[in-house]
Order: sequence, then C-alpha cells, then structure tokens
Amino acid sequence: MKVEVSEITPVRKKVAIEIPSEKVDEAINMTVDALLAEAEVEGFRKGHVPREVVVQRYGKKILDQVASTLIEESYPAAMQEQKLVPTSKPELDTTEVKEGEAFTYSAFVDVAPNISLKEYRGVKVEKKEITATDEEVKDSLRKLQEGAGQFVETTDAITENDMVTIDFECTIGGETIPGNSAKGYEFKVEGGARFPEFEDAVMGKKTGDSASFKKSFPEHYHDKAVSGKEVEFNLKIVSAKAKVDPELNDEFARDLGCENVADLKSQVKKQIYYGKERAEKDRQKSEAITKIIKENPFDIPESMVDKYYKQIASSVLEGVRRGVANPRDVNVSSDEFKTRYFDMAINQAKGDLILGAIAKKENVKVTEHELKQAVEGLAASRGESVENIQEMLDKEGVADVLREGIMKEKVFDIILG
Amino acid sequence: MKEFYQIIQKPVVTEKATERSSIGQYVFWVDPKSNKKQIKEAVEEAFSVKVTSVNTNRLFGKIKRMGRHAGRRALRKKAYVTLKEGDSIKIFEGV
Repeated sequence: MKVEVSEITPVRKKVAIEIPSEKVDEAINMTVDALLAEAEVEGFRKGHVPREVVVQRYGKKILDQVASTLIEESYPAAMQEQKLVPTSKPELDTTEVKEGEAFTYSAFVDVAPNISLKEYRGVKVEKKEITATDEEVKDSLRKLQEGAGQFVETTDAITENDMVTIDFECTIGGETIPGNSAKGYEFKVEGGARFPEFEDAVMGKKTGDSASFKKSFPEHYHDKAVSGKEVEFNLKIVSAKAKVDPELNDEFARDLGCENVADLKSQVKKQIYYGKERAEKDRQKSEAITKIIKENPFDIPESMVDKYYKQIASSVLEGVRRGVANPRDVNVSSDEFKTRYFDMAINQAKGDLILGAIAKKENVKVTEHELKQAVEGLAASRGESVENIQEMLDKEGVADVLREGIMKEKVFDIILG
Repeated sequence: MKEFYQIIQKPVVTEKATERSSIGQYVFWVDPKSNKKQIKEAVEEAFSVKVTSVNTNRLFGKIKRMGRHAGRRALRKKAYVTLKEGDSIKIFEGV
C-alpha cells in the first residue's frame, strides 16, 4: 500500500492511496467466494452456481463491494501510518476496480490540528467572592411559600389573582345565544379570562353577586352569531377562590423535609451558595479557556465547527420547543443567529481540542474507579439505582460523554491549580 | 437462408448444461424449425469453431387450461453441439 499525503490547508489533507494489484485480486476472489455460497441463479441449485456465472451476473456489485472493502481496510491503516487524526468522514474520490490492476483512491479529510501548547498552567483567572445574602434567602423562601400556596374558597371581595367560577348568559335584544353561554366557567383574574370585560365585571364583587356588561363585537369577528352586534352578558359568580400561601413556620419547614424554620433557612442558604459556587466555577473555567485559546492560536477544521454548530443550534431549537427560549430571539435563518452561534461553536470546538491536548500532554486518564464514582453520584442525584444508571449508560453509549466530562474536570484542576 | 442469430436463440444456462462444457459440448435453445445441418453451420459461423456433431430434442409445450379453454405452450428445441477437440465457446464473459 502506497500512501501519499498532500496538504490542502493545515487542517485538511488529501490522502492518495494505492493498493497493489495482488491485493485487489485477492479481495475480488474473496468476495466472489463469499457470493458463491449465497448466490441464487435460476437453473442452478444454491451453492452450485459456477464461478463464471456468478461473475457475469454480479460483476458490478462485486467490484463495488471490493472497492468499499478495500477502502475500509486501507483507510484506517493509512491514517494510522501517517499519524493523522481524522475529525470528519472522508470524502472519497475513487477510480474503478479492475482485476489485475492496482486500485487507487483519494480521501479528503479534516484532521485535528497540531496544537503546540505554550502556557496553560496557572492561567490568571479573576476569582470572585461568593455569598448568599439574607435578601436572597428571603426571596427564595417567599418563592417556596408562593409555590406551596393553594386556592381556598373565599367570601371576600374578588381581587387580582383569584380564581373565579361564573355562570354567564349572552343575549342580544333579550334573546339568549346558547353557543355563547356557559355554566361553571372558571378563570383567573389576571388576564386569564376569554374577554377582559369578565375580569372587570367580577372585580370587587363577592360570591353570589351578579353583574352584566355590554360588549360590541367587531364586524370581522370569527363567531358569526355575534359579529358586528352589541351583546349583553349577564353573569353570576358561583364561587371565588383566593390564593393562600402557607405561613413561614415550623410546620411549613417540616412539610419541606426540614426540622424547623432555622434549618430551612440554612438549607436554602446552602443551596443558593452551591448554585452560585457552581456558576462561578463555570465562569472561571470559560474565562480560563478563552485565555488559553488566545495564548495558543491554531487552525480548526470546518467540519468540526460545523458539528459543534449543529449541536448548539439543535439545543437552542430544543429550548424553543420546550418553551425555555423565546422564538423571537431564535430566528434560525437570520445571519445574526448564525454569527452568534458560529463563534460559540468555534470557541467550544477550540476549547475541547485544547483540553484534549492538555490532557494528552499531562497524561490525564480517567480510571474505572472515577467513572464508577461519577455513576454513583449521578444515581444519587437522580434518585435511581446505580444499576439502572449503568445500564442506561451502556445502552445509549453515553459512558464516553461521562468519561470526557470527568477528564475535562481533571484538566481544569490542573489549569486552575 | 436463415442467419445464425435466427437459429441460435440463447444458451441453456443450467447446472447440467454447464457441466457438459467440460467435455466440449454446448447446449443452446434453437429455432424448432431448424435442422441439425443448419444448427451446425450457424454455430460454426457464430463462434468460429468446428462442430463435429449435433444432437437435438424437441420439447413439447405443456397443456395449460384456463377454465374451459385449453392451450398449449410453445414448442421448443434444444441442441447439444459437440465441438472439435480443443475448440471452445466462451459463454460467460468475465468481468
């Protein structure tokens, strides 16, 4: 096998590979042999088809298969021989396979850049103090209370944020329109009603009160029964519920699994502190990485950036789908979106490459023990058994992701000292 | 006079027929109306070989019925052509 590598860019190579004729013939023979046992041709029993017949019938298929097996065998070997680390699938430019002739093909492939690491140890990163203030603790306690609040029937005047149930009738000139009347219609006084007039009408009223209002519908209203007419609504308040938040006392604390209010407070404080600590650590990491990338410039293959870009884009879109991100911010086709996330992709790709390079240089390895610990940690945080998590990792092949995460963590320990 | 391609229709591609090629005998589907002499000449012209003997057999079509109507499949004729020793016909071209 002859291999010739020429450089297109520092991160894209053309690899020309020539496979000698003997190898080609050997591969052809092997393929035909395999086919002989399989081939079914009319006039012959299976496995008794003469070689010539098989060759004539399956000629093209055989050669195609030979080409792909030859490439499959020679390509990784060639990459290893040339010490190239491909980061993309090769684009192939092949010639036809012919019996008794050498087979040549060229593969165009992106390779990982050669990173000559300069300075990465003890990168100066600004470290910020983290504290959880009383103010923040109060805030999240307030939120906890609000979250645990329940709607309780009330006879007080209706105010905002109450849940109101009404029966209403819609009439035009004294005649009831059944399609626009309802019993037991429930809404929240906070922009939750079908028409804002409902909310205005019940505001300040009590259970058992009735109210009425007039509403003119526009000419083009979708409901033909009321469009362009003035309609009178008569409503009766069936029930009103006000939201009552639990008080901050020991009982409330016990409901949340704490001993008393003081315990709850310290727990909340701890959580806030951990959250901030994690955010600060992430911030330090990304700052360190940005600095290292600046210190060690290198080229990056397009295909790699592409891969990261696609990942980012799909996760952003996933965010939109789940309603986390605002679709208006995510105009996928816009150039702005592309530039914003493309830079991000480049940085992520570079960051991963650099971390990998440092890991290699420092000989960072992830032991089985560490992996096991991570699995146990994951199991604990998700409240599932270790076996379940392990099974999931094996099934989905995400153990490598976990491994990579641990490795990055270790590399960061080295970088940040 | 019929041309050779009107007499020789196609080779018989079966295990049995291929076996025969090892003893210099080749089997063809031929025009049922042709005789041994015509077959001999046709093979000699088509493949530039010398034919020593021709054996033939006629295969009558099966009777097939479709309800009340009976019909017959076409008559076919097979020719076993023996070549002079050393001659051969390449029926299966390699790749």
